[in-house]
Amino acid sequence: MSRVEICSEQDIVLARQVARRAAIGLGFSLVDQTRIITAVSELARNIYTYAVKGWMTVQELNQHTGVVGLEFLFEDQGPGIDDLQMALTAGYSSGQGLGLGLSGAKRLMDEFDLHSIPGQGTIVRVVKWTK
Amino acid sequence: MSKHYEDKGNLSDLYDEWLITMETSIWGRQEIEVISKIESMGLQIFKALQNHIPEEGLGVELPKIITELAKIAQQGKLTPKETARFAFSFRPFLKRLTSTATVERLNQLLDEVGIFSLEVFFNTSDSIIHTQRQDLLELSTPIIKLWEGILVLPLIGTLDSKRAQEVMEKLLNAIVNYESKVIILDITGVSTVDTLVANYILKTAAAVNLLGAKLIITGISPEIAQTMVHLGVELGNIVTRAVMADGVELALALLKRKIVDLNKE
Amino acid sequence: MDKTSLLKIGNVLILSIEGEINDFSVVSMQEMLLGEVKNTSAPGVILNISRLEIMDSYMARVLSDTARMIRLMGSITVLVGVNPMIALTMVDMGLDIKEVQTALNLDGALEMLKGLRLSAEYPEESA
Repeated sequence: MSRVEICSEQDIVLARQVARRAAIGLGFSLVDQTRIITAVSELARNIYTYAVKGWMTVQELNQHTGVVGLEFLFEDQGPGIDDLQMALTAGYSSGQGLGLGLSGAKRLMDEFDLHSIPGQGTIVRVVKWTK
Repeated sequence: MSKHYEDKGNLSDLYDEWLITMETSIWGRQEIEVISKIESMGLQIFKALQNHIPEEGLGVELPKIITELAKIAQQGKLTPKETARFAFSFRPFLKRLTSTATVERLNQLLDEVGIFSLEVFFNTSDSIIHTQRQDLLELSTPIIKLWEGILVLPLIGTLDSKRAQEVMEKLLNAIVNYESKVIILDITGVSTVDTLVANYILKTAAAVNLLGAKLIITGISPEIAQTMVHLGVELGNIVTRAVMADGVELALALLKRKIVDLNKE
Repeated sequence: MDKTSLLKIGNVLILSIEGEINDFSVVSMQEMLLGEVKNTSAPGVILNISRLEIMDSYMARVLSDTARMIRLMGSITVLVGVNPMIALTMVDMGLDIKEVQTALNLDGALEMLKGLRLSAEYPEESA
């Protein structure tokens, strides 16, 4: 399990490197590696852009059938997301970027969960399983 | 004959008796080679059960032997049932082994051996299926370089999402490797074109565009055309043709080339 | 700045993006590029992204913004070097880079620029 603090743009790069290493370590295919790193980049950048500071945690998951996966948690104490439905719709943006961060990450990963309380913070959980 | 063997005998006596019981059960249909291999494994197992009983688990010897057995089984020589039956055939002999372990422990061990043998059997099956799947994928999606800058991919068979994904990756890599501007995806051999296949085609076209190349779909039969319209399948801007030859003509035109009849010149 | 490198072929500019672009470096990259477009009156700019490891929505935005700026200055942008893995991820995400066409390689890009330039001269072309 690794933890990366995200508060500068350089940390986004670091988060990607950590994600890449973890993905290669679990033997993900090249295209799945790309998906994971891209999703991580989106979610880490969201923290940097909206929350100023947050954390990414990476953890290996094991199903009892022997399938392994990677779980990423992105937590911050930022402003939170007001309208969840809107945020998950492609094209929504309250700031910079194309607003595809959340919905893009959701489409790239196998599992996607989000909890946000406006004014308090946000947690995003994404998982990708090896096939 | 059996009365004579009631007391704890030495190993080779037990083994001979075991051989006799096995003769009537699993090797009826086996080849001589297989039989002698299994027979010698039987002896190894007897030895392992007698001498190398670990406190917990299966230890080192038994898994090795069982894995060997699974290899033979995988070559089609033994069914899962026969494999398990082989493992449990030692049960009647356990209490007669001069082993340091208790009979309870030996019975428990044998149960574990039985389960392990099935596990190994299925794991090997899985990896064989995986390899065969790869081979099948290679065979059924040949990418043909038709001409400089034109690739043809005849798609054959059914398309599930996993296969679609693999074919898409193969296709995109081929475009980059061959530096092909046009790729013709022929779906004459695809049995059904439902919304899943259509979505896959849309995705592929988008990805091909992103690479800077162009996708042409050929092999749209009247039946497929009707099905697609009835299902409401939209292919948008993707260029389609009924017959591959038409697709080839279009591809050549895109590359500013054409086929001429030399006689007419 | 080793994050990008700028070359010229004929009067076409080729910008290769090699390293990490961030909010800080993107402005200077665009300034430098647009300055060159102005000075050389380059009819076309080729953006080479073969060194990019991934394409996320931020990078896509950077590229389409840059292309829009280039267009405002009377030039045209073509993208080159899209990696198949990136293409797949972009399609999965539904990501698009507006304002930019892609070419497979440098030759294709130069040809494309010629074609686009010609069509741009006709009044039928919509802005």
